[in-house]
Amino acid sequence: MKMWIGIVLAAVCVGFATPALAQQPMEVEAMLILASNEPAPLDRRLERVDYLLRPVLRFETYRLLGQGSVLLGAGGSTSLALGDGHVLYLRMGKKGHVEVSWQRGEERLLSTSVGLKRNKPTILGGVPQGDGRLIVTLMVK
Amino acid sequence: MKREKQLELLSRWRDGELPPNERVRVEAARAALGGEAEQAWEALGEHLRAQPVPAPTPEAMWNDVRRAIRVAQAEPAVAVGAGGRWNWAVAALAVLFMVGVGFLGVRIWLAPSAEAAMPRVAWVEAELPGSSAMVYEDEASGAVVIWLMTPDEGPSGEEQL
Repeated sequence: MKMWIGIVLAAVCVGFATPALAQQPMEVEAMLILASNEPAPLDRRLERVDYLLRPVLRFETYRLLGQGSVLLGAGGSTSLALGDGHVLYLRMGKKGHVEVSWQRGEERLLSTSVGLKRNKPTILGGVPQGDGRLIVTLMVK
Repeated sequence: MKREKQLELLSRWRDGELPPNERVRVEAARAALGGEAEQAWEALGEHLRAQPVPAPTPEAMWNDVRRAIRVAQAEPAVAVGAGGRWNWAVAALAVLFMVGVGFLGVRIWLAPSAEAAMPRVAWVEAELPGSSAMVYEDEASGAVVIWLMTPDEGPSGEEQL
């Protein structure tokens, strides 16, 4: 009898816990990149994203300005400093989406709610800096 | 009365139903009577066999059929009951368990399709003054690009995407 009660409770708990399992903590890696058309040697640190950026964005060169990674849990929020005063604020939103706010110091540049997926990078960009544009890549490890 | 008792004892002796001590007693009495009781018993048997067997009435036949049906229906219930009495609590828990498993299955089944139906980008706010945002999803790489279009960017900037 006790075994049956245990089995039923376990089944019900697993049934209700499925959405929570779907939102397991994810490690998000972000890179702050300056894209420009000035000729420059390939930045070796960008080998992992260069092949993704070139077909989508038509800049000549990409230079890494800063990077970091952070663990984002279900319902959690965190921030990630990328250098040069750029900070990403991440908050786990509804239905697997992550609310991302990109700031440079006190200046808010871009906010979005995006579904971060493994092997499907998210590229935020277009912020003017000098002769180029700033880009932030978000990848789930 | 005494004769009836003797006939009954004799009948049980012939059927081998008597315990050993009774059997010895009947065999001794039979020898003493000189087969008188046994002859009487056999005469009674012959008399009964000579009687015509009455034909069964339709009501009796119908009752036989009903009795047979009742017996046949009762057999499985007796077999189940032999293991233990029916427990409603266990039955209810079993049903709950199956519902739970079904619920879990539906969740697992629907989860990927629901996720696939959702757009990657729910909303975007371009917060640089005078800027607007453009969203582009590259099918080849699966990358999603959220690009700020600034007033100073011009047509050449749009060509970057």
